[in-house]
Amino acid sequence: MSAKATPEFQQRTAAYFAEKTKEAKGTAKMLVALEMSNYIREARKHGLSFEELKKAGFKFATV
Amino acid sequence: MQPYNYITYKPDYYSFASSSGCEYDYYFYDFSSSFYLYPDLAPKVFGFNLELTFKPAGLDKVPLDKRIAATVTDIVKTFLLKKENVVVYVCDNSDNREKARFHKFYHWFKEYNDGSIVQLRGVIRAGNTNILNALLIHKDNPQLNDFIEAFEIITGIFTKPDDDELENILNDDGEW
Repeated sequence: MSAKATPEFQQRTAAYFAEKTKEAKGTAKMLVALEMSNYIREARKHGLSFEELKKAGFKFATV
Repeated sequence: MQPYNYITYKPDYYSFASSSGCEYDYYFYDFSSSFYLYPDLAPKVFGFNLELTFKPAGLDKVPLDKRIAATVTDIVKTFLLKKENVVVYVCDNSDNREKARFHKFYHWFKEYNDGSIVQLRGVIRAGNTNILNALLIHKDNPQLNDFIEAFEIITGIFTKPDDDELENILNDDGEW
């Protein structure tokens, strides 16, 4: 099920967060990391599957 | 404390159900961007999220369940067992409950740690925001010191001297 962009939820890509991290200075990089973590959680709540998140460039891992 | 049985949906996530009928997904995601200044370390850095994906009808509040902690820490220990990857957790502060979340995770990893995992805590002050976070790494990870140094710099625990300053310090035979 794909999530729709709503005023509350804007779909993002991993590249968006990577670029934002590069632009952030010092410890603000961790703010971007937190934003990305929250984004993935929100995306899942809005119905994005792991496959869809991977298509947007996010990577996951198991052992 | 016996962890719940969990299913691994390779290569994406883990899933388990508790005795109260709640279902959880648990996953590690690429956290390399925050370590991008350390290209040798960055691909091995992961964040994690634990999500409640199903709550039975009629269950108003999820009951306290120590087996969830045992399960989560068991998955993390397994993830770190190869001694390559590290896990960083950054506590969500969007609902002002980050302190409670941070202490919960800290105590989970402390209580169920068999001594194999090193946990470093940090607080990042970015503007008016405090970000509570921690690094989890296997004690025998061959890059343990490199990860700790990078984490301390990224979280602002100390500032790395620039190369000239470092050179001066290392070549200074003067009194301490």
